[in-house]
Amino acid sequence: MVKLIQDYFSISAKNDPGKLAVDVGEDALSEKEKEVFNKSFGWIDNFSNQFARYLKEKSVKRGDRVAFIFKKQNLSYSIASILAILKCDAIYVPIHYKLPPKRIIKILSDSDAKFLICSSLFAKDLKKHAVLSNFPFFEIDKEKINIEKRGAGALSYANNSDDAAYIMYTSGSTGNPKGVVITHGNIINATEWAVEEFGITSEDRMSQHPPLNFDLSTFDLYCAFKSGASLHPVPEDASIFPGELVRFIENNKLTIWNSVPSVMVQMAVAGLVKPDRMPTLKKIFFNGEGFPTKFLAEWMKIYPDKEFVNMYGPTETTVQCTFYRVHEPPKDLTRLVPIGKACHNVEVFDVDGELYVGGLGVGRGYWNDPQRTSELFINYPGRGRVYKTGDLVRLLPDGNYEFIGRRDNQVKIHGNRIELGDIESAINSLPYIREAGVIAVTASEIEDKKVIAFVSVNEDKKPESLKSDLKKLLPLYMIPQQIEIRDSLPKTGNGKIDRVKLKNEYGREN
Amino acid sequence: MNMEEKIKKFLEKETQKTIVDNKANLLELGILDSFTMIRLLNFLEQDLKISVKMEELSPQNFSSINNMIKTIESWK
Repeated sequence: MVKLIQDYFSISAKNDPGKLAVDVGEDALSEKEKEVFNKSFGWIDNFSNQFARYLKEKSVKRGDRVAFIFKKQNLSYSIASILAILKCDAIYVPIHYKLPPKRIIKILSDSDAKFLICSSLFAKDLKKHAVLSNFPFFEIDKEKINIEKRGAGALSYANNSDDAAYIMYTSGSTGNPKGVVITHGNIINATEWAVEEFGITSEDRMSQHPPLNFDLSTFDLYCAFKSGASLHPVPEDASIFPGELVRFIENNKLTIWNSVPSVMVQMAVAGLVKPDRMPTLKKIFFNGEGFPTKFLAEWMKIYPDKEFVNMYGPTETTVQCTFYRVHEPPKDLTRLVPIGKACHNVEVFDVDGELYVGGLGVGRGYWNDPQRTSELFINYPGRGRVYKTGDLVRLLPDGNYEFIGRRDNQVKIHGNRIELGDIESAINSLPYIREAGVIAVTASEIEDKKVIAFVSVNEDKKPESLKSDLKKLLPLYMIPQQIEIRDSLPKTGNGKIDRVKLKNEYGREN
Repeated sequence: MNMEEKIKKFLEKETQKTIVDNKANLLELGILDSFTMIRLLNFLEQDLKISVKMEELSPQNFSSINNMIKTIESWK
């Protein structure tokens, strides 16, 4: 077993250097683009060695944080950056290119990142913001020529398995993103298990759908690195066009698909889940939120020979801590399929209905936040260090766990974990807001969620202008789809905003 | 109101955002997301009586008001 996650990649590169690690597919791309985006294991491994040497010259040291931002199609450069950072014994911080600059600034400053690796085009955009005008950008297109002058041989590493590998930022209830620290050992445990359990090999062709700042992507990346399978980045804009997704799966002859369920629901709604479609697909993993059961049943009835696996796990416990193989189309359409049983070397149990997770997947805690870390990562008598998920579960007679809901008012939209309180505090920070209540409702037919903010204001404001103000504070996926302006908001007996009443008022239930 | 105006008005009402340019990429602007997309398709089918060829839709032919109109016209 490897000690550090970059070794997975180097071993695969040694086994078959010419094999494409990243393959963006045939259609819709010019030869030139293919040359830029399609990269082999050998090329990426060598380039990341050169890149690591160059970063070290620029004084990146063990334990330093280095952030990167690339668009989806640039997956080969994202992977090269990840490996280069790890090969410096440093910690990588993935950032999504669509985040508003203010959020990016918060992440860079909280993680105290030494560099931000990105394209010069993106750097130019960010430098317009005064706080970032002097930030050390590492513009890869300009630096490529310098990187390639460095030695390409393997490096030696000072890190151990219990050193941090990445920090992923998720929505925080205080209005600030919080960074979850995950170690090499955490990822190795998750990866060893998944590759073995699902028999992933170098013959496999895997989707790369979730953005890299979302820990679902850890499954794609490290299973592919370890097994030598190729990764096929799904264009970000394709996600809302089911026809485009199905064509992508077919043209790339994908054998493994991993995404949030909502994407698969759309393929079913569009009528594209048909016996003659997606013939190469063998294994389908879904994670990040519950799969609306009637659509899962539809998929499974049409494809009795494909394998369907429900994965569950908070970022804090490294991608997945439980899993459930769905053997036959679920009959009870009113319940979600179980989240299942613990993965290898993971322990799960519930305390008054709340799921606690122990074992080798439990991360280091929150970056720069010992207080929150000690509240949620606790020593549990007889079980060691465990993470309190905040998820309510029920233990079924067959030993599987069923997901019931959240303890707080956190919701998931397309797998993005959103604390409604986070949106509320952003709204409340606007000078003209009197009060605000944010709810999530489910659109009945498609079971997609929608966030609605009810606000009262001190001056004449339109929802449009409120939204554009919020865009400066929050990522797009957190902007309420709808803003309702009221004279005042309903209150509960103890004076809190009555969200149940707001939901009823909206006329649909969550 | 012609179809172009109806679609534009629907999207503006649905997302509470203003569409300034019919050529603008609504994906980039965050106006067209998965939620709005599904609502839009329902609107096209139920209110405008257009039978949508779901499979044909792509970012190349359904990301601005102009290319939406062109795509819908091609189905007639």
